[in-house]
Amino acid sequence: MPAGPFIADARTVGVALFEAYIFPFEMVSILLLAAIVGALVLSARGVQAS
Amino acid sequence: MIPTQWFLILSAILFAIGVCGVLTRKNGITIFMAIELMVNAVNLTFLAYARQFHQLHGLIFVFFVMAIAAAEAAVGLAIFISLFHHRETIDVDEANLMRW
Repeated sequence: MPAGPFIADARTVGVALFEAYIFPFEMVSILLLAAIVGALVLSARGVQAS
Repeated sequence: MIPTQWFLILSAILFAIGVCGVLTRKNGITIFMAIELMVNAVNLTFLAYARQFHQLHGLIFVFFVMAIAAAEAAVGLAIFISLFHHRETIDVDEANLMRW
């Protein structure tokens, strides 16, 4: 177990997020888009388009 | 430095409160609040272990868990809006359309 405090600043987290985890990041973007579309379809059903 | 066990104990307590809320409440919004409580308890566990082992993967995974929780909350609230249009209630005991 490493000693000392854990230093993880925004640069370290951002580089890890956009380099090693870029594919899951894009998958999350697709998931959020699908969630937006699904929420709109579910909540707007039955509302007449005027 | 706060020991990791305290974070884990707090996370377990929060998760237990969330489980009790899901199992006992009947209002749909309250159930969603309890689900968010469980998700955030798991996030706290991720962060505690990431801090103990000095690994970045826990921090990154917390971002994904938060995004998925946001998507789940959006779709769930839309489902409750549709349910309220049909049944005039968000009591989950009334939502027995898919019961077999």
